[in-house]
Amino acid sequence: MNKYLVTTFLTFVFLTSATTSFARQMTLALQWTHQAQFAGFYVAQEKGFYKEAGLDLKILPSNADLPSSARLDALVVDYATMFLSTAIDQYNRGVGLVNIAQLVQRSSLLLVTHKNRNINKVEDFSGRRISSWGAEFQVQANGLFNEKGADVTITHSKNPLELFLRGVTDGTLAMWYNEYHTLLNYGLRKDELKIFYFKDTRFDIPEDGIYCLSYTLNKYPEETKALVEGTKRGWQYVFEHPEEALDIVEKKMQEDYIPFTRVHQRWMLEKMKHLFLAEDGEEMGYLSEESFNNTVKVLTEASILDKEIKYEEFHKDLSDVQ
Amino acid sequence: MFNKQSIVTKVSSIFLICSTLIVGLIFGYNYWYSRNTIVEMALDKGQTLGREVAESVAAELKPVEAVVQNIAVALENEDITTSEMTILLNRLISKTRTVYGMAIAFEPYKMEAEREFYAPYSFKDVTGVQQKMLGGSDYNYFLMDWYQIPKELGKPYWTEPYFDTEGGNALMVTYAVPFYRLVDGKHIFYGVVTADIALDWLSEKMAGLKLYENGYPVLYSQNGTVIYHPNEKMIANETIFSYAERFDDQRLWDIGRAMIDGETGVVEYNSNYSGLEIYFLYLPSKVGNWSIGLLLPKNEMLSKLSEVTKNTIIISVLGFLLLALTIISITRKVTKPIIALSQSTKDIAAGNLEAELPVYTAKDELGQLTESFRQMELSLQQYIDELTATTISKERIESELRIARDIQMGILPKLFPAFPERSEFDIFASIEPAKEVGGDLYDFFFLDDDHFCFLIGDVSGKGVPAAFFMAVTKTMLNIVSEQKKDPGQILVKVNDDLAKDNDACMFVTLFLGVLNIKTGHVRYASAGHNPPVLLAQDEVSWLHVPREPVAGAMDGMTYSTCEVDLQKGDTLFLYTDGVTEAMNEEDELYSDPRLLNLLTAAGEKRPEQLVKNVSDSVADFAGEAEQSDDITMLAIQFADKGEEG
Repeated sequence: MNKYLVTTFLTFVFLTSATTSFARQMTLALQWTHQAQFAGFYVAQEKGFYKEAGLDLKILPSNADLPSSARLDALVVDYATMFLSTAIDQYNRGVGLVNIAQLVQRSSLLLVTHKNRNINKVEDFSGRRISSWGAEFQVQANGLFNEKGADVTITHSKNPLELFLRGVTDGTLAMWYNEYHTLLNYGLRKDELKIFYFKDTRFDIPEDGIYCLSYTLNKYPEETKALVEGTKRGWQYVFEHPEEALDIVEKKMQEDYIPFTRVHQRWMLEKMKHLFLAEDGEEMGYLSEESFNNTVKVLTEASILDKEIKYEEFHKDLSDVQ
Repeated sequence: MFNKQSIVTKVSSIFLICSTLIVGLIFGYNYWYSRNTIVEMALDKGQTLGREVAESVAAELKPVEAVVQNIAVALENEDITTSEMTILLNRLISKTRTVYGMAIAFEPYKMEAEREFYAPYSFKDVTGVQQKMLGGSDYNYFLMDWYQIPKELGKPYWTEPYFDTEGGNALMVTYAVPFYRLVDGKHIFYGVVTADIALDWLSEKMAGLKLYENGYPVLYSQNGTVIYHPNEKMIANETIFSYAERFDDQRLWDIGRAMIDGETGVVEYNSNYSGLEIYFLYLPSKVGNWSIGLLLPKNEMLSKLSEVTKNTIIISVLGFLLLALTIISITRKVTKPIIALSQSTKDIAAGNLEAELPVYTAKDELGQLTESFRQMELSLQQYIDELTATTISKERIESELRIARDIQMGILPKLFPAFPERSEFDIFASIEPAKEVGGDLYDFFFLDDDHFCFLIGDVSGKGVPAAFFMAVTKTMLNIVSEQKKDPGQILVKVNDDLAKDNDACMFVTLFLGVLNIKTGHVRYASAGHNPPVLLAQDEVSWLHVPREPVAGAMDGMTYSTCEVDLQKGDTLFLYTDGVTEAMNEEDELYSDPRLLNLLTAAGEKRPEQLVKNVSDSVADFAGEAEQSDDITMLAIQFADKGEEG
């Protein structure tokens, strides 16, 4: 009787632990609310690229109160997108995550101010106020201000643009692909604004990447590979069929009652294309060691990183995975 | 080309062109003025409508603002408890249709010392009014715009419109007012009172506005976000700037900028949404720093104008036609009698002096013209009658003259040979009269058995007097030569008689000769006449003639008698100046030398042939020239055939 029970139990375990294609639904937390910034993921989902690769994926948005990094840390989600700087910071804190794909190869962050504030160089921000979403996004700004010796007050806000528009702050952090165009859509003219691009400084560090805990990579290598492959395919498709991609994004946003402005999302898509493709011709999704080292340097200077990180430990090239 | 047109056409077209120009000017000015006035009025109406829209939006929202502001003021009083707050909020929400939820959010630890987040929130749902507490690590309201902005600005704030996930995804906008408390004598920021307002009622209200048939309002937030637009898809999804970017429409972008800058204005514009030409009126809303736009279709606003235009055009066209008909008929009426008159005149010109002139009784210019024509017709008739009478009498005179001519010629001997039985001499004479009754004469007759008189003469002048004088002279010569036998004497007597009653001072040249037919001895005398030619045996020469005065001019003249002997066969050729003064077409005279040459060369002495030769020669010489004088010739040959058997 024991033998029979054991056999049954083992069979049961065997059956339930068999790693079939649709055994486990994986979750991905995007680092922000739905928008064209994540179009590749939606398209891969909608077009069945993940399914074809053997992955059943659920995609979740985040917001400032519920960062994707925290959820990954808590393993509430299997995968998360986040800034490279955020990921390194997490790594530094002991979170066992790995970078499985680098999407945004350079910095799209910028500082915007109104020309009537008479801020013509970074030093002029001294004694002034800028708005920002939060500490996570300020690494480069802090680094730049420290370098220039500018004493700047940074105000956190869920809506840093509105603080700037209402004149509470003299400038605001903004993403080139998002808030900058929002300002234009709020009636500000390009020639009224003064922009400081971080990509023109030594703080040109990559941003969006896909991460998971090394645990997940080890346990679900197929799914992880499928995620990366599917995502790349999705983004490929987006850049080849932008209008169709926009339609998919529109559907996604409207499901969540997020206002969809086509010209704005199109701008976002076009900028993502610039940001995704590395200059040295490396294929999409690749994190170059140079970029990684530069980021490490910046974060070390900013006292965010206090130990050494090895590139090979941090970034995993999934072509090795079976 | 224009001048060839009829009076009707000329006058009508000039008049019509001028009146069209004048009417066109008047109409043009009127239209331009009306247009401006109507556009002004329409825009005025638009402005009024705009203000009405602003009023109606404000009418709903201002009370809400007041309520929230009052609560903020009330909250400065510390004594209000949470439950009191909740009751107040609940009551307000249930009373106010447009308010969906209200919250009072406190600064950290201000309401309760251990509570960072303290924000009682009342709201409506399907079951009624509910309440809950807002705030937590997953809802950090301190960094939200409805809290942070009024706190920073220190004044009330309207958020951008958003879709409220908790409130059934309705379109909402939140009004937030900061409140303060006096702490240690200092006015410090304590928190924010909010009201969430559902905008469905606003959409309904805006959609229900009557702005012509195809006009509509739009409402934008202070950042240009669409709060209301008839195209629902636009609401909260677009700003006026993203919409302008979509259509690459810089004009619309600029309008949007003017609107969020709080300006008032009106712009002519082509709507991308409706495709119509519109007037885009914009003005700031009284509430929320929003701006209101009214898009009013031009054609509807200016419908009065197009009506006015249409009517004016119809009237103008009808007026023009009426004017044309009138002017054409009037000018026709005027020109009809003229045409009739001209027709009658044609008849008169054709010779019908009895032609009927059109009856025209009016005493105007045409009447005068007709009267003048009638006078002219009568005068013409009279004149022609007189002319006819004159012509008749002239013809009678001319015919009498011709008869006189005939008589005149009749008295000259014409029969040749004149004396066929006489062989002692041969004589031939011819007279070729010129057109008019002339004064040449010749004659020959026997004085007695042995003496034969022959003479030639030429009376001065022409016409009837010369003819009379010629007749008288001839007769006198006849009579006197019967009495006196001497040529000189004959001439003296004839001259005296002629001169006696010659008041007209007429004269006559004469040559008279008497031939002794037995001996051939000629005695002769000349009164200023052309010297005859003597054709002698061996010589043709001028007969010597004394230069003695013409006859008939003055009495008491003496005339000498000369003598010459004719040999047998000699001829004397007598002629008048009609021969030697015959003119050809070149006005050359025949002349004496030519005559002499001819007579010399001819070698002819027989009178008839001689005269014929000279006559032919003269005719030949004269050619086509008109004969101006009588050509008279007389040739006498002494033949003395008596001795021959």
